[in-house]
Amino acid sequence: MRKFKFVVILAVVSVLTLGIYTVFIQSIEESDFTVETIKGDPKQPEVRSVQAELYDQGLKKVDYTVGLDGRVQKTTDSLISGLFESPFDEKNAPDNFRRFMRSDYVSTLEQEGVTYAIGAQDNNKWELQYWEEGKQRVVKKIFPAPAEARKLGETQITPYKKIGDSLYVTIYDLQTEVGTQLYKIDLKDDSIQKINLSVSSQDEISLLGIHNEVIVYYVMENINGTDVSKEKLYMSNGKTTKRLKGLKSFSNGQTELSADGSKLIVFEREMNDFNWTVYDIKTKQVEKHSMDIPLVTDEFGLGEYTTLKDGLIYTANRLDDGIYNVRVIDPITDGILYEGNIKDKLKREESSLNGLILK
Amino acid sequence: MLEVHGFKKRYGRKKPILEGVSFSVRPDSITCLIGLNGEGKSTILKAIMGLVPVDAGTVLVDGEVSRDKIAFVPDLQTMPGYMTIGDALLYMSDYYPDWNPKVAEELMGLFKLLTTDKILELSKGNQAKFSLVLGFALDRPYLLLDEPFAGIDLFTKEQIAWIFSSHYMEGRGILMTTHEIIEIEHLIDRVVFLQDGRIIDEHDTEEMREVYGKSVQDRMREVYQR
Amino acid sequence: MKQYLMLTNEELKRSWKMIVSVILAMASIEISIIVGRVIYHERQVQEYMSYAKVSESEAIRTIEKLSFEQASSYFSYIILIGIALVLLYAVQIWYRDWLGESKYIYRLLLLPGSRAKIFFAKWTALALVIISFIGLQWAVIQLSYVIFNWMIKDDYRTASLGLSQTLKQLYTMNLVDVLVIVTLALFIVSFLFMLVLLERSYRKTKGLLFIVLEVVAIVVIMVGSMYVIETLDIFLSQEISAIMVALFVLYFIYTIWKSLRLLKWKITV
Repeated sequence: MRKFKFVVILAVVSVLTLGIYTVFIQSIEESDFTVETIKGDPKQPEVRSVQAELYDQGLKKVDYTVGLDGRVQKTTDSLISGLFESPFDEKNAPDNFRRFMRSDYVSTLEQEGVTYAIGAQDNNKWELQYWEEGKQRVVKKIFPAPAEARKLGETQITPYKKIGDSLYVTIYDLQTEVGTQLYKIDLKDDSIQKINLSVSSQDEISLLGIHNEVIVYYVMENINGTDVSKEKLYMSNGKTTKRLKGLKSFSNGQTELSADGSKLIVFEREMNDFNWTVYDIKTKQVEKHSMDIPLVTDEFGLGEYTTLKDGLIYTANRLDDGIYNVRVIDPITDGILYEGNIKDKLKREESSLNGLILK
Repeated sequence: MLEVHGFKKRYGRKKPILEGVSFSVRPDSITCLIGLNGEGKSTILKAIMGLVPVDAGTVLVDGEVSRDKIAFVPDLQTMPGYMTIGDALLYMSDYYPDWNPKVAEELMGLFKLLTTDKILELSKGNQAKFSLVLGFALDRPYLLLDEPFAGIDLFTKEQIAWIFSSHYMEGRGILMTTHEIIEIEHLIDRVVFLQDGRIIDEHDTEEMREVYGKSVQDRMREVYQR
Repeated sequence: MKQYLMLTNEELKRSWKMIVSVILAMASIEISIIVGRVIYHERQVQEYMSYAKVSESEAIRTIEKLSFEQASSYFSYIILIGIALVLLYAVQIWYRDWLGESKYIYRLLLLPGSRAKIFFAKWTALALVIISFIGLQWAVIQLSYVIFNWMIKDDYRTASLGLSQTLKQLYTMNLVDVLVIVTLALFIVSFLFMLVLLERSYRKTKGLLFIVLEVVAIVVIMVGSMYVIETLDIFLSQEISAIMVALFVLYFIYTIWKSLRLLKWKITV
């Protein structure tokens, strides 16, 4: 014992003190979330795949994913798991697809359980791969680059949306960063069609929505000789382009075309002011809407998340006592399709809202 | 036999300190390594014990490459400063399977050393005697001593010198370096003269006296005053 | 095995007074910090009350309640000092064997058996000190929290045990993370050991040159591998992590292997 006295003392001290630490870790409370439905059916298609992401800002880092059907997933991070976690957007896809996805020249889009990845390593061909998680398969296609696209310098292709069997992509010249072109890739017959938008090669285009081959977009036009640019709203069917007037502001907040393509919904939030504007494309009429949404921000000024998807407003807002109110709103009728409260039985204040995941 | 073969050592670009030194130490004998200050005598002893690396050369002990049969008594203290003599003796018995506590006790009594004495508070003479205890109490056939008589008084020298003619010497081969030739000339069996990194002469002392009629000191003068 | 443990014990025995002093000093300073902060906060509230002629609750609203996280915010500086002392110890644990009135390095190098146990004894001594420090620091945090709650008036404090960002990096509430931190610390210790042994083997200019070369080598390996990975651009994030971990492990092994080699063949008293 004399020979090992100090080794034993330090070993015992280490074990005892780390033991105290372990006991403490076990004693830390974790939130216990439940979902209380106030209105609507959480199983309806627009709501079914919505999940709220909450994280714990307390001593123990825990991430909670709460489905509106009440299912809760908890993940605890550690240094090791952090190292070996795949980025969330890689989604258990096969290695080859993931390698393709993360190349510098490739951009991705995730829509309805399918991840589309497209890029042009050289100007002559476009590579498209998409991973269908449900079918667990990767589809690969290579297209010769369209003639007009080849005229550009180094191209960046960005997938915009899949509608029906077609994938709409925008491309622009990486060097000049302007001159956006829009293409429609038919995934059934492997053809690419350029959609003509009436814009000059110097303009920056932002797509707002596509419905029945009609594209609604806006352009930031530089006023000649000045630093000022003006945003102009357009509608095009690939042959004729019409300027849409009457809507003043649409580039600051979130703007989307409604599901039937007849209206533009512009959503802007200023803390407790929950407002949106509905613009009728045909009549050019502008309607302002608002809703009373209670919000109690946390000490960091956080606590809300709102997004537009498929013509609906999805919003999650923090209330007192660890409650988060989730609503799915039809912006045209002001109707609340769904409202529910995510409650922490322990009423812990340390949890914080990260956002909503809509699949 | 303890055999040293071809020791070479050089510090940087300076003149080599050892240039192919080879010699041997017979069991049951005392061999003395002689040389002027800075000739590398200490370096040779340390090199044999692996305390200083050499650029070339080997050591064989009874035909084997192993240092477990050699005990080393350096010219400085090697036990941690806080230790008493008793602590040091316990240390040796803890780590050395060939530690002989009986011999240690006997020598402690002979040298009148107390286990409660703090090593660093001992006089130079007592420190030297204690170092000898640590060396002789190991049951090893070969013993290296680096300047065992350096800086100690006459009386202590005699005490130490006595040990080399005692029964504690039985079966041991000793290699030592020393400048104090006069006190122990009568005990030395073989001398090895070192100069400029080389062995320039070596003799059995008996042969030197009977055949050439020279003492070790005489031979030393011849060698180093050339 | 027994000799290795005895040697570890010997290393700790030689440093015992220093280790205990550092622990007591750090703990005392940290507890004093808590006590001081609570007293200071209370004084601030009282002074504001008399200065602005307001009620206690008004004053607290203005000054704001004191959280344990705020009160313990200086702990990270103390911990940094502790880390620096441990690194110093990693160097001193070797040099003390050469310096001073006695040269214990002779005794160590003359011990029967493999010299690897000398290395691992010092390494283990450091490991035990590091783990104890981590554990004891947690114990002091807990004790400080008890003292904090006992001293401060209920109205003056915020409820929960919160830790500053720096403390949260060390105490992530995951025991496996402690293992990772200790491994990283021991890697640094091994690297320092290797540099010390290089100096003690080659000395002076040559020793310094080898030290510089080793430092340059590790920088080149780190920067070089990151550059290659970036340039090739073919690896997935988990693969990159696996490569970095593998490089780390290999280099860790290298530092130990190199140190053992130096101890066996090149070390000089």
